[in-house]
Amino acid sequence: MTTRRDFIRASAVGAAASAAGISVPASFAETATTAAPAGVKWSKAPCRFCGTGCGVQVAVEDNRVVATHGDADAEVNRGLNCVKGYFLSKIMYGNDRLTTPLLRKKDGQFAKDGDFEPVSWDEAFDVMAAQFKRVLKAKGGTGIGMAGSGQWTVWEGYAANKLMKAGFRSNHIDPNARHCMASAVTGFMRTFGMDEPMGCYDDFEAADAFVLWGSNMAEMHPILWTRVTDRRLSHDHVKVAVLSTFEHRSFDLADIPIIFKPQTDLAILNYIANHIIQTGRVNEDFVRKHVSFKRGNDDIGYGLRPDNPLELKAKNSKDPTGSTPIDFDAFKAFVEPYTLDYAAELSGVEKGWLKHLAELYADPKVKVMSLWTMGFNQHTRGTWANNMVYNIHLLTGKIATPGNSPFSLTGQPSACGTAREVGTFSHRLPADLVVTNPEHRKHAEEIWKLPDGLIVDKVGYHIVEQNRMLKDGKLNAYWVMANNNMQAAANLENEGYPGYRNPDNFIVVSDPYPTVTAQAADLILPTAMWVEKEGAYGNAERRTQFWHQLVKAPGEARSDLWQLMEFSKRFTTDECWPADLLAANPAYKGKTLFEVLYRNGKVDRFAAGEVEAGYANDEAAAFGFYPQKGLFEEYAEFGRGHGHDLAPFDEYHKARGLRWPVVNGKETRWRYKEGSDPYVKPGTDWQFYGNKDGRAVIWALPYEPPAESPDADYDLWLATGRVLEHWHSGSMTMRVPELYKAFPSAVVFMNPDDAKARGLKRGDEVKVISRRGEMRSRVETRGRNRVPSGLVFVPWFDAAQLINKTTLDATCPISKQTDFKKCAVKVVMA
Amino acid sequence: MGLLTRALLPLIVAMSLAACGSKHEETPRKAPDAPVVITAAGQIDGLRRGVPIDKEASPLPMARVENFDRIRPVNYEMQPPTIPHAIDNYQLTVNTNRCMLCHTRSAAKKFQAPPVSDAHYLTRDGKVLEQISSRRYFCVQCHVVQTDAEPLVGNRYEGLNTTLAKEEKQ
Amino acid sequence: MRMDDEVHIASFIVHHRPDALASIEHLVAATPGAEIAAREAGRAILLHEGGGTRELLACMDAVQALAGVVGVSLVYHHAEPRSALGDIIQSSAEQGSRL
Repeated sequence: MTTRRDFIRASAVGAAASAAGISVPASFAETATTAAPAGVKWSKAPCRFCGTGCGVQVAVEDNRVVATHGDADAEVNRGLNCVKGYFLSKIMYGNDRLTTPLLRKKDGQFAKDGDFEPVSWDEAFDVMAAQFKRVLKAKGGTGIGMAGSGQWTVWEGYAANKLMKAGFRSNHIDPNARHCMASAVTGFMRTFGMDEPMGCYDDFEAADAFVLWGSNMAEMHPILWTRVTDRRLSHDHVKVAVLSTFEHRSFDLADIPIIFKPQTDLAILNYIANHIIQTGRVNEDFVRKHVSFKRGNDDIGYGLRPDNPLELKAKNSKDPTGSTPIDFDAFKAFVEPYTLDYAAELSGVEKGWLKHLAELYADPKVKVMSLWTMGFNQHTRGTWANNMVYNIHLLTGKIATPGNSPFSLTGQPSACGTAREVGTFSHRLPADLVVTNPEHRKHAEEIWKLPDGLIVDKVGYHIVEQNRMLKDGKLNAYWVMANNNMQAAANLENEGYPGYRNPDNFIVVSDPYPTVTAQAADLILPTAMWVEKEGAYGNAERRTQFWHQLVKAPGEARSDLWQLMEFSKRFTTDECWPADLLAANPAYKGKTLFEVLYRNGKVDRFAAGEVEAGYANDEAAAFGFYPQKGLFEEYAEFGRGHGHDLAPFDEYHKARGLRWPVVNGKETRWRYKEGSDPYVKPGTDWQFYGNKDGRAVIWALPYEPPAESPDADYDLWLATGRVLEHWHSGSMTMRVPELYKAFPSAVVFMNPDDAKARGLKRGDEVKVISRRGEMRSRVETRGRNRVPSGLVFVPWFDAAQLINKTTLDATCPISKQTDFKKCAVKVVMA
Repeated sequence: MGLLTRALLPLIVAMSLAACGSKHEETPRKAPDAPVVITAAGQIDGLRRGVPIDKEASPLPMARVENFDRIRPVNYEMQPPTIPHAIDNYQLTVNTNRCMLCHTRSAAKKFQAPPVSDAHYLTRDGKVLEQISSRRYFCVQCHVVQTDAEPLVGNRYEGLNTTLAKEEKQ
Repeated sequence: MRMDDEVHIASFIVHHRPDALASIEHLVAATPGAEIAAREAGRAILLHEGGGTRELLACMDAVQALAGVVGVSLVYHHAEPRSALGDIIQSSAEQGSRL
């Protein structure tokens, strides 16, 4: 029998044990778990922000999150958080949380030009379903699209993928992760035939050198930066090289600081390859056994609309991915022109620094970790940049062993877990499968227990193309979930806003807050966030992490998962699938999409009662089964036995995340290496099994100029990016008073000489103008970023200063990821 | 160490921070009201201050960093305190750490600065060091300044409802 | 309600050097209402039950003052009438989740 006193004492010990990362003594643990919750309860969760995937402990009292702190037991961060993470407890409590659906109405009816009015979920879904059915009838699935996210939980992305690709038979589903790491994906696929890093965060404690290629980790991945800093400051031999087009906080730790002219990172990469070859430091044994060589098509255009003069002029704009096999000698000859002189001339970097940098890679004794994010990925040659950094790791064999690690960082909490692994891209299915491969489609249809031939065989519209197709009236019913793409996508006024306001289109935005994108919508659905639902994220080192629902969402707000599954009840297969397919598969006739997608005997096979005691689960309560578990286990079938093995569902609620492939209960830290990866055949030493021949590809790719460069009329480079205090579009962090007050408005970081030449001083109001549009901001000549003459840097978190009115929607033609780092603008006094 | 720094302090909204600041002798200058040029009906995004997406308004004046050296309360244990003074031109590099000149344990008293908390002396593996752990070296990853900008959207967060907190309020 | 009607139950984490454990144990043994609830290398969790805040803070200060104690942080603090503490409470299965 437990008294109230026993219980409070047990709670006190439990709270302290959890905070300290000590296990609760058995004598107290029993009381704490058997008695009813009272006071404060601490539970684990991953952070809601970036792709680092820090663990946090969340304190809940009276259905409110009252505190959070770094989880001492989380391997990623061992008790630390960055400033955003320390204020996580406030992100759900902005005064303007959406608590009811809002529909544009006039005279009691939906009207595209009406004003937002609160409506019930029933009315919201009635109007939405009628609009989707109008489009289905006129065009079929090809008129329907969805913009998703690397912020979706794993099962939300999976449920959305099924609803779109199988339910509506539309492949026009793509995540905002397209803007974030699509180039990393295509880079991995072209070099290794398999997505995601071979190494892991353990490399931070093993490397002798770190090279940042277009990544400001000090602000954007602060906790990983603490691991770099720790390693550098406690080991004298360790070196840090930082490459960027302007000087930022990561330079504070740099032994080798390199400011290069935009786009010339390509030339620097080829120079390093050339240096390795010319100085005789190729790891010949490794190259002979584990590498093949290809020459990629060049002159591949810039991913603009097909009628753009730049696309018409480009030789290979229709075949950007083409290649021809070559040998080592051909590769050697290809990079030979990239001499130290040429690289220095093109990049504007002093030769001494370039040579230092090249030596880090060339010296066989130095274990190198290369790190990159948007500088590489948001690049009109982003896929190439990824391929080219693998080149230098492969030439030297510095890969897949502790500390030797080309490592692509991610910006969203589940860019890897949801966008990539679940395959919510317009060309993908789960576990690296693609819609264009008939065997892959068949495999997915089998796992989903759906008719053969259901999945459409054409690649859908990617997220940049979706905006273009909305504007052109090809895409007419559009659902935006867990992203703020109106603020995030380039060329807002010409390619973003017109499509949302096109009278032919019906736009639905699901979000916790009234964002810029929500403002542009016709229907807004209030959404539960983070610990208001049970979730799973996958971080940049292949670590899958779970959390429980800890509080209830406010008002009528519902999770994306509930929205997707509940909406699917309003459609029947007869409305969505072709008659001949149903005639051949009569068992599916007359069924709702909910029945065939989620009541399929797999997704619904776990009872609602299986939810861990002491935690709520609003979706299980609503649907009468445990959908998160059912969706996860069905999804996991795709990867098990194929190098993407996930552990059983329940394991993740116990562990602080596990890195896939998880084989026989053991996670994998270094893939492709014998001894640490169970998939590598004994005796092969390394095996790049994503490619049929087991070899990774070294790519011969040239330097090519950017899509737009400064000229007499628009005389400055514009690079956009982020700041420490705000995460992406700021929809959460701008509503946390401390984070807002730390960095309240976007500014134009400008070189003092450039400001002076334009008669500007710090604080002056200016217009940033490009060929596409303009925005107003203020000049900043001091502060954390020091930009070289000729370049301005503007962060994009500020909804009141939409810098994407000026940016160019040029993409890497292979990855379709926008280059947000390079376009031409002028800055004038407002 | 007094009760204030150790207890689980309540903080209802950050507005109270601003109010707390204004009582001090050196009141930070308040930014003038936002010169919003357009206000249209039906605008729901508070961060855009009523300006439609396809219009541009005059940006808010540059906010000033609050610089009055009064320690602000934290919401709960283990939340990093915000920096109550300007840090312009502070050097924070491999060789120099301007912050630790005053905030290191040995110097804190002399400069009347709060010393960094004990947790800063623990390594990633939980070992206690004499010097601040190098994983905590770059202070501004966790500690940020506060400007005088008034939040555009308020926040309803409420802290731990603890006994100490209640007593503090009385 | 007068304060002395209440019982205060609190827990705090003590970070310490390994050699300080003996003196912490000694102090705790001499402090009515205090006990060490858990210990691990360099860390201990102290549970304190007493008549008020003053008593709790005195205990924390005494621990803090010991040589080898690196830090003391309060995690949990709850007070309620002594009379309520003897109540038998239901298990979560009977009561259901409050969330």
